[in-house]
Amino acid sequence: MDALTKRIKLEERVENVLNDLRPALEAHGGDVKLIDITKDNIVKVEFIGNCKGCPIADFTLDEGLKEAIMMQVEEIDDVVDVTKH
Amino acid sequence: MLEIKNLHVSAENNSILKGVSLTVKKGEVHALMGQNGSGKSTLANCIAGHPFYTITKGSISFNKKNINKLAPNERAALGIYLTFQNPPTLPGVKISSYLRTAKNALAEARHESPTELTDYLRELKTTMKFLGLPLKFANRSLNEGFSGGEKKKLEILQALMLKPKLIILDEIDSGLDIDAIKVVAAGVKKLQAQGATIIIITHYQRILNFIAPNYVHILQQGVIAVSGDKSLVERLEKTSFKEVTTTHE
Repeated sequence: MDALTKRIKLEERVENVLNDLRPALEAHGGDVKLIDITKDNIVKVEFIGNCKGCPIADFTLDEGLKEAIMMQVEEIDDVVDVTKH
Repeated sequence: MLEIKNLHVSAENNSILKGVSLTVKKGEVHALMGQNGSGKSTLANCIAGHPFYTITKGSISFNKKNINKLAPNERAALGIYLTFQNPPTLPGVKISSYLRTAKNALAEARHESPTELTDYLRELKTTMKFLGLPLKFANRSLNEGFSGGEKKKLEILQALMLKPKLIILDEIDSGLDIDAIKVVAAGVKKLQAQGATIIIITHYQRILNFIAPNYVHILQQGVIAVSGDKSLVERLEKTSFKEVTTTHE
């Protein structure tokens, strides 16, 4: 597998985890977008809709996204929020 | 580190331990052997503070502090850790949440700050990889539907994550295949390298081939009948508890 295919596969796997989590965010009128996966395997996400500027977005990131992504996708070393809340 | 003096213990009016004395220094590995019902698990449970047992005489000190009256959680905060012989099942309690809660509770009891989530998850992933556990293992409920090997590996995973000072392994090798024993032994060695002191209760020589004990004690009818080095284990395998305890001087 070449580097590009590998990367696309990695993005797909992260997206799959996000898809599992989306219904919970959508129930609150919010959503999340995958912005980037850096070279050192750090996932950057942006909150949209009601999640943007939400006072408990940090909680959603930690208790929801971070653990789910890091524990389901072996390579991922961290998940950070890049939203300008 | 651990000093047990003339310990007498009873449960439901039955006298089980009848004067056990044992000194364990930091970094040592002690093996505790003996027939079924000789008091090995009772001794382990008493060190951890199991409420079922009553100390009628004698003392248990940890780092020069008498812990006879401390609750199990207070002993855990001091750094004492006992693996379960038969780990309980807790449906609905996810391993990753459980370990994080336990780790943070220990930190709180020690007035330390809790581990950052990212650091915790990184450590959990590395440790699970070391034990050959798949990532999705962390998402399962505590011991629910686990094989014997998985249960024992979870006990070691907990020890590696919680980093206790004194670890008592109660029959950690029972019911394990040789590959699983090697994994468990590698975990114990890692704990040892981190500076942990180990008491290992076992019926078999097998695990002691991987984790060499400094001392071997044989319990018989509630007392330590014989203490010696590793050669005691070899003699035991060839003969019997009865012969070793009656012929040893």
